Amino acid sequence: MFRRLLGFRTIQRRVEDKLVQLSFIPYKYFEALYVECNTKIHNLTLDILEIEEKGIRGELLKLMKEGEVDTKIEIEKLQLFERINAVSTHSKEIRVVMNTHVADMKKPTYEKLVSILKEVSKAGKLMYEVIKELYHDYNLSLEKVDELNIVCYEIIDGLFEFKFCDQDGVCEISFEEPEVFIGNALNKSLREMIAVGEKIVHIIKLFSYNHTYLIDNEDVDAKSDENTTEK
Amino acid sequence: MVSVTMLIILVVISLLLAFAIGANDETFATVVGVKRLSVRTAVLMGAVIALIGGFFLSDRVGKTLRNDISPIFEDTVNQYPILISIYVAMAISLILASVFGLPISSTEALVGAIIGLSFALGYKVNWTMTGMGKVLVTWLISPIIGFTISFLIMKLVRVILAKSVKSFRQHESANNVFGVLLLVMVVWTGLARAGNDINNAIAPIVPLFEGGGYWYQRLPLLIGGIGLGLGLIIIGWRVLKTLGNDVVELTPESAFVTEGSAAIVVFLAVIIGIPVSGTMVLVSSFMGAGVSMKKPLNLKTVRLIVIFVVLTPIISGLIAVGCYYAIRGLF
Repeated sequence: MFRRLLGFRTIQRRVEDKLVQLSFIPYKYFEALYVECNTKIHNLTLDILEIEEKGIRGELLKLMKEGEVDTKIEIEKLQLFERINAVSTHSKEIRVVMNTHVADMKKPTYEKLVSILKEVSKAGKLMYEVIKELYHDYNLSLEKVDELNIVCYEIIDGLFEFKFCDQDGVCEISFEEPEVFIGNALNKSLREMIAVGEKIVHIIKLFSYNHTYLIDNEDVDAKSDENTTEK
Repeated sequence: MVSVTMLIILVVISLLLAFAIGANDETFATVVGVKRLSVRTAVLMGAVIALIGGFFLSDRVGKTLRNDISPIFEDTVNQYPILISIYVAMAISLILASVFGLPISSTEALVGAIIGLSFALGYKVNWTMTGMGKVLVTWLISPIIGFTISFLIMKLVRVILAKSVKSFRQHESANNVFGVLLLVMVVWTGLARAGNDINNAIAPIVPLFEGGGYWYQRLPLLIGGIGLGLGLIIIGWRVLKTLGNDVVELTPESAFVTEGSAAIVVFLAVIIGIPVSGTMVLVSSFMGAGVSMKKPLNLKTVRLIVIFVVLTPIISGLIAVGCYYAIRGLF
């Protein structure tokens, strides 16, 4: 009983550490991938990061099972964990498609995509900061979410320029083009980062006693949407 | 010989009633719900607390029920049909409420049966503030006090939390603190409710044990405590498991506030010696905390509960009277 009462605090802190560690991996991964793609030399850091990510994921699942306290909090943590995982999964996908199609792409396109990788790593760092700040300061975390959204949408806008249009400016979707594969993979990874930010906002809405305005705004929006639909 | 057989029958009935009350005891559900205790620990802890609370705290409430409301328990001629009618009325009222899925009070059912039989047998009910008057006033104001205390404590807790909790880490730490406080409150509530509820099962048979030594006189309290504890261990764990897992909306701070408010009100009533409805106090505390958190109240359900609160003593009284006239000829 006492272990149950007093042990939770330790487990919660360990879950916190592991979640923050896990959220740092996409940033490191994109940095390493940028180096690999730039130099075209196999980067062992990426393999190490994949092993590290797998280990942290396993430990987190074990800890979350052990430290079941408040159902609502645990559900939210698990969903956050799943979203961070999705970012990692898509980043691995990017590595595969980049390496597979490196020979099929024109040099400027490839270089453009590599430079986008650098931008994505910045977004990854912001995602890490969002999660770190969630545990330290809700307000700072919300500020970081805004920054993350801006950076992610800017990169996504940039992806459209070579994703859907040909040299003459005629827009056609060709799923055979390697840059489409890579663009889509990058897009998915960025969307998952945005989803992590959304989850953080949701957690703050749910558990903060000082951010009721977030709920009010959403309610107002939902009500106005309902009214429009009814009309 | 007949009186010994009847005594054994009545003791068994009261033991069963205490068992049933224990089986439906939801006091520890909140602490299981926020995962601060496992079902097994909660059940064992609840059983020990029921035994202690029943044995040490229930005497004054029992005296009020037996002596202050009506002199009906002094009737030695019709003693057995009266006791059986009271038990039957309580059992039917509780079953009826369970059919409708409403939380009703066994205390109200017991008092209703006593009043109904007193009217039927021509005993004068003490409506002054030394008897039924204080019981009625307590019934009326205890949910209001429970609601108000819960509302105010919740407001205070939220103001404190808004000032002190600025991050998720602090939120988790606050939850841990409230988890420990909740456990303390639940133990207190358990003691208070055992002291109150046990009388609903054993108060009528206590006069049958008068005249002996200290332990003989306190035997009904021990029987009630054992019944309450056994009910919790054998069947009550299911209630705790169901409620504990269903109460997902409950956070440690809201559970602490509702349990704490209910504990304050019920404990004060037990100390003063007034039988109070623990269920109603807990329901009103839930509502107080809910309103404080700006959560919408289901007014339809509230209305239904209020109707049942009013109807329970009346229905129980009518059943007791009907049962009494049906079995009177057997004795």
